[in-house]
Order: sequence, then structure tokens, then C-alpha cells
Amino acid sequence: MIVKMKRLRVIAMADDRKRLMDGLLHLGCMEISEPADKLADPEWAALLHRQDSALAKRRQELADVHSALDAIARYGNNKEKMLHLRPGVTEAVFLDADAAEKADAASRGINDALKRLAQLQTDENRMLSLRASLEPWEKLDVPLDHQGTVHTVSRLEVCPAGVEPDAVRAALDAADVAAELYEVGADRQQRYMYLLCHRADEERAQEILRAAGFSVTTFSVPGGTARENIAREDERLEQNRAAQKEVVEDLCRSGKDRDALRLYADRLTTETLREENEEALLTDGTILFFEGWAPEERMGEVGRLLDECQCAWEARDPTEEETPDVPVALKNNWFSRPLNMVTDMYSLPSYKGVDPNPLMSFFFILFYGIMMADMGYGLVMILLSLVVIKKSKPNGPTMRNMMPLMGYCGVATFIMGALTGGFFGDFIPQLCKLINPASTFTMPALFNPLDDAVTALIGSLVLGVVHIFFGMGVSVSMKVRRGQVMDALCNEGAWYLVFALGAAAVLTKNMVFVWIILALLVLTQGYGKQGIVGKVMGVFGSLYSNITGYFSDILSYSRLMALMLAGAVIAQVFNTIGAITNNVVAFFIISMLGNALNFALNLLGCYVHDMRLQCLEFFGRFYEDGGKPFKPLSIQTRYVDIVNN
Amino acid sequence: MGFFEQIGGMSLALLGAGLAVGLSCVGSAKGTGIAGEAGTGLLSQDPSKSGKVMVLQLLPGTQGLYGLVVFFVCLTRIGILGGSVPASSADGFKYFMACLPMALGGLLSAIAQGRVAAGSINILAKKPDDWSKGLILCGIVEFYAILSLLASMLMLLFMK
Repeated sequence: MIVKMKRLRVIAMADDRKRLMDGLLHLGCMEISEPADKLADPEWAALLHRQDSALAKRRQELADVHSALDAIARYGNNKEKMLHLRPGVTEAVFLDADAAEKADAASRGINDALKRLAQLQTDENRMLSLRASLEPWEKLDVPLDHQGTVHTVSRLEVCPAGVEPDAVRAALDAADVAAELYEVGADRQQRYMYLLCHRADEERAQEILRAAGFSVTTFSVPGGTARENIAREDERLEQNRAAQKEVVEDLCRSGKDRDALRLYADRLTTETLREENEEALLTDGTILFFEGWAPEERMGEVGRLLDECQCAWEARDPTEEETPDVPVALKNNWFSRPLNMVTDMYSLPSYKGVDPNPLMSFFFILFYGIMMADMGYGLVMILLSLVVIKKSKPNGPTMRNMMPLMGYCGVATFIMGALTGGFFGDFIPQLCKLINPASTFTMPALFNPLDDAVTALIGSLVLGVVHIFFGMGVSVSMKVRRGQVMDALCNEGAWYLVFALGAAAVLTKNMVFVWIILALLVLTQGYGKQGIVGKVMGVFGSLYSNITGYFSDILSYSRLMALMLAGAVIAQVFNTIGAITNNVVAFFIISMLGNALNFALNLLGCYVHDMRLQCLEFFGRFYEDGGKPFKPLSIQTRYVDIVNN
Repeated sequence: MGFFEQIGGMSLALLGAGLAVGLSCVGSAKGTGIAGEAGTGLLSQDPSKSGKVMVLQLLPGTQGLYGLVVFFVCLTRIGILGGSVPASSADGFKYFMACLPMALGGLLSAIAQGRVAAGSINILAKKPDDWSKGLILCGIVEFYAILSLLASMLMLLFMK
């Protein structure tokens, strides 16, 4: 069901802010509204302004802790099992200031080390590229910064590998330039040349060389030959790498701080949310004003806290205009709660709508069972769900719902598997045949999807009609509750009758029923339309959209049978391939590998198709979506669990 | 007709079965290929999403399996894994026809689904929380592969 909310308006003393926010955080059931609309009003804006907050600082700290945790995951050698329980801490420990300070220091230490490491890596890259550019000049035994003598100049020249040095030398000679060109080295792209020429001829020499594709290169090194420079870079590289190793070792040792940092990350996430809420407080320096939402059932606790903090406050039911703004929280029993996974994915119901979870839970699980329908797969799902829940108590927004849902669907899958005689497809009969070729053992089954495909198809469509009728029933009850009885009668009521009469017409083959159906539709489908033309258009429009709509919606349920059949046959294919080997061990391995693939595909496929049946065919009949999720100021944890002392 | 008579019923039935699995696999290969290409783009930025990308990439892969199912059921009817060899080319042609819906439906729906899956990978990149909506979009394309499978299966199972 949808939790009833109260609208709160609170005025408090600004001095009590910390106490009030601490208390609200502890209760974890109040959402403070964003005051942007109030501040847009000049009269409000003249009186009050937003409370300052440390939001930007908290966000930065949170980002730092996350990068520290990433570094620990990468460098720290903490072993962690895939499934593990989160440590439990009390609220006092969670909010302990000393521990937070220590964790902050650790986080800063790791971030400093990361920065140092990044700097060292940049330096290393620079040295490596300098070294690579020096390498071709290694054979040159002239210092790199040597510019020449009184009468000569010397230059380092680079030209494309395709240039013939002899041709260039000939050109220099022909121009009567007093120059000598030495080849120092070459690789696939370039030749590295050393030019020595008379100062007076330098310009002419350069002209000829430029024309041949030469360019001058220089090095910004302190001096010495290329070989000496390379040796120096090597030495510096060695130092750099030693320093890097030291930093990495530091980071490895910081693995011990992981748990403290995780707790701190959770704490900072909570603090960030708290600061966000603080920004929504309006103040003039002396008082605080805020509005918000709290569940009706917890108003007692909230009221007590507000009274303790000497607040002036009022709580009232939301008005009609406020309905779209009321945050929506769903409260369900253990059976319907996991269906939140589907509702969250689709869209929350509006505050005045209905909670679809209890309505669809039975159908969702039943349909899943029908599509998967295999005892073996059902068992695996139940086991998987139990193990994960027991070992790690998942509390993430998805996993928290997914694991129980998988368990329930596993039970349904097992039951449907028992009805259709599937255990990893036809694993058992094939195994019996391998052990004893004369065996004709078959699994006991109520029906076999392969032989009774048409029965299964009709059964799926009938289930579809039931599901859609149920959805229409929900819509009727919503309309009646709002006093739209006539609307309900002309829409859902008329179509119920049409289906009943249609069935009668098919069974008795009496045309009278067809005429009654037509008359009924003509009489009812114009309801709510203005004027004769409007009513006529309404009748035809409704006939077209409803008949095609119902037809395609009901046919859509054929996927129940088709997926059941496909899953069973794919398993059978792999079992048969395994049985071809005529060896029990090989059969087992091949069959289990194939079944694992089929299981994984079906696990996802059945979920997607089941979700579609619920979201399109079922929700389409009654659902009003658009609710905003309820996000109270509360302690946010990902790595730890809050326990009571 | 002399041409078909020469080929024989068995070959025609095998041609159908082969096309059902072959074309469906071509479709799945193209579909998973399109989705996979889109996935590499996202994974090069954010490798931690590899699980979800793989799920989306896998979706157009089911058509190949459906094709294999039709292929297998066809073999169980035409005397290879059971049943009896089609007596005439007309009989063989029936099996060929029964396999066609899966061959065509599998080929084209897998490619279309691959495009939707590639688009859904965009959703995963930009709005990671809403990626499961992309799953539904892919599921809607998948339904037409299921209908093709259903048509082929019903023909193969109940054809006299």
C-alpha cells in the first residue's frame, strides 16, 4: 500500500539547528522540501535566505574517499570473498568524530600518495621520451650543445629516410659550399645527420638542406654527448622507479585502513545528504523555517522531537493540488515487497493511485514459473537466492529485492517443472538411457509442452484473459471509489459483458449474441463524448482501439507457452548432444554446460518478458504512475549496517 | 517439378532446417555484433559496466538458439533423430515451409534487436539507473522472434 503522508511546516530557533537535524537524521523519516518556489516570491526572499552549508566541501571529501578506496582496491592486498556480510556498527560509532578525523587523515594520506605517484609517472614518461629522442645520436661523440668554432658551425640535422645523403653532398659540392655532412644514425622514418660547415657558408648550406627536406634539431640538455645524456637519464629513471615503488608500497600498506575508510565513506554520504537538506532550510539568522513530508504513522516521534526542540509546527493532510508533489513510499509484506524491483523500474504510482505490488506479485511469480518451468532450474534459483541472502544480506536498491524475488520465482519454476516433468530438460530419462539402453523411463508429468503445445497455448491465453480482467477489476474499484460509477460501467463493465457474450456466441453458435454485443457497444462506448457526432466517433474509435487492443494484449500472453517450450527444447537439445558421446561423464559435462547457458538466458529472458506483461498489458488497464520517491533525511550505508546497541 | 523430384524430400526438409538455424544464427551474429560494437565504446570509458553491457549484447543472441530449436525439432521429424523420412518432395517441401518463419523472423528480428540493444547501451552510458528500460525495449522486439518460433514449432509438431 501507499504510505499516508503529512505535510509539515516548522519554525525553529536557529540555535537549535544542529540538535534538530541530528534528531531528524536519527529518526530517518522526514523529507525536507526544496524551498525554491518560496524564494521565487520577493516577499519571502526579503525575509529569509538559504542556510549556509558545507555541501561543496563534503562532496569533495566524499570524492577523495572514493578515490582512496579505489586505490586500496587496486594496490591493497585485501582479500575479500564475493559474498560477505557487512560489519554492524552502532549509530554512535558511525557518527564518532574522532574516528572520522582519523579516517580523513588516512584518506588525505592516500590521495597525496596518489598525486605523488601521478607526478612520478609524468616525469617518467618525459624522461623516456627524451631518452628515445637521444638514442639515434648515441654514436655522435660531439657534445650536443656544441655550436661550432670561430670559423665553423655545427648543427644536428634530421631528414626523411628516403633522402640520399650522397646526392645532398653532391649538391653542396656543386654549390661550392664548404660543408661536411656525416650520417650519425638512421631508422625507418628518418636519417640523423651532423653538419659541419664554414660560418660564411651556413645560410647557403641550410638553403640546400631545407630544399632536400632537412630540418635542424636541438636538445635542451645541460651538455655532454648523447651517450652521457642517455646514461644520466637512465640513472634518473632508476631513481624515479625506485620512488614509484616506494609510493606503491605505501599504498599497499594503506590496505589496513580500508574498513575505516568505508565507514567514513558511508558517513560522508550521509553528511552530504544532510548538507543538502540544510540548504533547504530558510533562515534570517534567528529562526529557521522549513516544510517537508513525513509518514503519518511516524508523526508521533517527529512531533516529540519538534516539541523537544521548541519548534512551532503544524502537520496536515496534503491538499488536492499538492497531490503531484507528495513523495510516494510503498509499504508491503514480505511477499509483495520484492516486486518493488519492477515498480521502481517502471515508475512509482501517483500518491492517489494504487500500489501495484500486492496486485501483481502472484501473477508475476506464476508467469515466471510457467515460462521457466523446470525443477532443476527452480532448485538452482532457490539455492542461489538462499545462499546470497544468507551470506551477504544484500541491501542495495536492486539486489535487496532481486534475491527474494528470485527465490519465490524459483519455487514457482519448480512447481511448474514438476507439472511438465522437466528436470534440466529431459536430463533424467537421457541419463537412464545411457546407463541402461533398454530403459524407457519418462518423468511423470501432467502435460508435456512439446506434445500438448496447443493446450498450453490456449491455457496461456486464458491466463492472459484472467490477468487483464483482474487489471480491469482494479480500475473499476478505483473508479467506484472516486464516484465514477457510470464510467466504470460503460468501459470495464461493458467489456466484461462483451467477453462473456462473445464466449457464449462461440459456444452456442447463435448470432443473437453477436447482435447483443453490437447493441451493447453502441449504447455504452459513446459515454462521456459531446454531441451526436462526438458519440458516433467515440463508438467507432473505441471499437477500433479496444478490439485491436484486447486482441493483441491477449495474444501477447502466448509468450508464456512459447518460452516454456523453447526453454524445454533447448535443454533437450543440449542433453541430446551430450548423449551422443555415449559416455556418462561426457554427457554430464556437456549437458550441464548447455543447461547453464540455457538457464542464464532464460533467467533474464523470462524476467524481461514477465515484466513486459505486467508493465504493458496489466498496468495499462489501471495504473496511474508519476509518483516521486520518498527520500527522507536518513543514514545512508553501503558498506556497514547500523545496529542498535 | 522434375527438378524438385530429383532433389528429393529429404534434401528439401534439410534445406529448411538448415536455413532456420543458419539464418537465425546470421541474424544473432549481426545483432550481437552491432550491440557489441556499441558496448566496446562504453567499456573503454567505464569497464565496470561490463556485466550490464554483456547482458544487453546477449539479448539478440536468443534468435540463434530458437533457430537451433526449430532445426532440432525438424530433425526429430524427418528420420534423423526420429520420425520418418519424407516420402516425396512434396512432403519435404512442407518441412521446408514450416521452417521458413523462424529463418526469416530470426534473421531480421535479431538484427533489429541488435540495434535497440546498441541504443540501450547508450542509455546505460548516460542514465545508468534506467538501463533496465532498455531491456524492455529489447524484449518487445524479441516477442516477434518468439512468434516466429511458435509458428514454426506448431507447424512442425502438428503437420500431418
